[in-house]
Amino acid sequence: MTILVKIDHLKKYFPVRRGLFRRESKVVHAVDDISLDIQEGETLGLVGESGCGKTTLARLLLRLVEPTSGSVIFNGQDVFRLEGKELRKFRREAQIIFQDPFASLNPRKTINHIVGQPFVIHGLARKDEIRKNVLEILEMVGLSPAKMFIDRLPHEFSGGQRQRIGIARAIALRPKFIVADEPVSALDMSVRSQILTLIKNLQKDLGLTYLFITHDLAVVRSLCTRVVIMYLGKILEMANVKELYGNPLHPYTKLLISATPVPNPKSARTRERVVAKGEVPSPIDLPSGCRFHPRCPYINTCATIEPELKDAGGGHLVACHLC
Amino acid sequence: MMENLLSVINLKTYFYTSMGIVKAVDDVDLRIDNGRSVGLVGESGCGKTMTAFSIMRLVPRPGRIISGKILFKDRNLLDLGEKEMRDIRGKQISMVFQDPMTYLNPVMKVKDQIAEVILLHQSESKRKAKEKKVIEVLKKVRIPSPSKVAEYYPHQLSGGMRQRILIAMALSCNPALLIADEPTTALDVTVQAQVLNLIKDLKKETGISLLLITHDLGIVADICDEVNVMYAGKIVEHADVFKLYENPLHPYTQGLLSSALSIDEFKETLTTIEGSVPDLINPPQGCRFNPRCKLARDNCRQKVPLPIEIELGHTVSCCLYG
Repeated sequence: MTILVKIDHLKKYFPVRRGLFRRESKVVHAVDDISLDIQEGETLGLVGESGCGKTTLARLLLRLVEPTSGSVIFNGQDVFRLEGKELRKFRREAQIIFQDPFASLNPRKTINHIVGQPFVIHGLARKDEIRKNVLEILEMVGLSPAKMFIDRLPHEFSGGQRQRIGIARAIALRPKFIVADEPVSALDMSVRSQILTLIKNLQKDLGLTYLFITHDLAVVRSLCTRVVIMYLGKILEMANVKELYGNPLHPYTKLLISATPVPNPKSARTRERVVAKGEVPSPIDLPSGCRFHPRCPYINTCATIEPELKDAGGGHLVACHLC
Repeated sequence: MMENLLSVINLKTYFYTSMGIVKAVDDVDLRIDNGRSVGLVGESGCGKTMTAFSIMRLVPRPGRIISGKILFKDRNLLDLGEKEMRDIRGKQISMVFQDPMTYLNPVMKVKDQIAEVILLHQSESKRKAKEKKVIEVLKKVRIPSPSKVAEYYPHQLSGGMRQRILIAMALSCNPALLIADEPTTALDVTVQAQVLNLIKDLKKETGISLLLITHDLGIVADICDEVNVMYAGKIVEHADVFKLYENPLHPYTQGLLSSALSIDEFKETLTTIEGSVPDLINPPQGCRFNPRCKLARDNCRQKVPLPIEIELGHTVSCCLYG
């Protein structure tokens, strides 16, 4: 398999000033030294709790923010060195689906305008062609008959339909790579599987590669090929889906799996429980050594030495002294 | 037979808006027995929160309770005066909300907020309430170093801690019924697990009855004894939790359960319910689920299905049965 995105020692720190007269200068370690490959055609799940840096990582991959250090190689080119024509080509090939379909569509523009705008920006079609293209794309995302929808405004649509519009905009220019940032967490449960099915089918039809960001391990199980578990800006574990659910190694992964509610009263009441201590610490004042050690049930040398990401066999990577 | 604590009978709560009448709660029956955990599951806008607000008699304008009865310990809450109702809220029935920050006063210390509830309902001296009782309830919800946290303001606390404070306030007067409206939706999974464990433990310790409102089928499976499934202002199915998950009868419940994803199994193709939740100003004729139902027949478009008890404790409102 070919590597589409190669992330190498990527770091993003945000400076914050606190204290009297804002003299105290500190940094938020949003993404802290992450290396990772995304293969062509796969769906890589990125899982973590709020504030773990998963959205910042996504924004870095799309060059919506500049990194503190490190590089992202997309299709053989360093994303942060792209300029002019090359950068525009990259913008066509890498797209994003946002979490909140209510906030990510301009309420004053028609669907034709919203989904057609990528063609205008990139100068790829004339006005009459744009309308034809938009109609076609709307049918692809299941808004059919498209003629009924194209001249309406976002407020006339339900949450699920709006997310379909967001997806239509993302696939309009036939990208190679799409970051889906919690695309179903704002949706009602009966609509969720509709959108997930659409995302799955589009991958088959268009040969897409996804980075699927979520906090829901149940969604990852049925949608992704590989999973990355992130905590406070670092990767703690990475493996293919079967391996991760069958043989989770890191105590944090075990904790996440045990904390995810299971829609089955029998197994919900009989399965093994791990309960975490406390809550996620601040990414400004990071814990020493392993970042998870203040909440980990099995610490020993973890408070002093930060564990490296190492291979536990068969491409199953884990950062833990105990594994 | 267990002793009945709360019975909601034919409750209707409508909202009179400029767009039309929103039938948020339309003919709802609900029963909670002593010591039971009852789940109310549904999607956003289906009326589950308004059912809870109706029980507390806190329906915001332009909403109004149109008809029905809410029997709590054999008294109809809808007949009570506002003063008597105030005696019940917080003391007999208390509520925990979804977003803890919105329901805490940002300029009041934790101890003052909790003491307020205690002073209102119990004859305690101000000093005693603040010094002893507050620490006691904070300990009860497993807050580490309670005397320190009592001096904090809400913004100094994390999301999970804030939710614990709300639970502490709700339980401070030993109510008979706790209504928890999506108590963990705003929290991360690991913290959610902590709060759910706390609720389970407190239930065991105090024997309190619980009405848990949620959209998460996993949380219901974990905590509740029985479940009510709500769709578009109506309760479509009620059963014991094990029965409901094993043998769901209503097509909506079946759809929800088969489309729910689990960490325990891989699904190649996902099952879906087509369409989206209807608008409650002009709900569909007949059964409200019929436009999305694969099994809908002509009958479903005309007749509003009434609840039928299929077996003891398992009720369904669907034209396909009976």
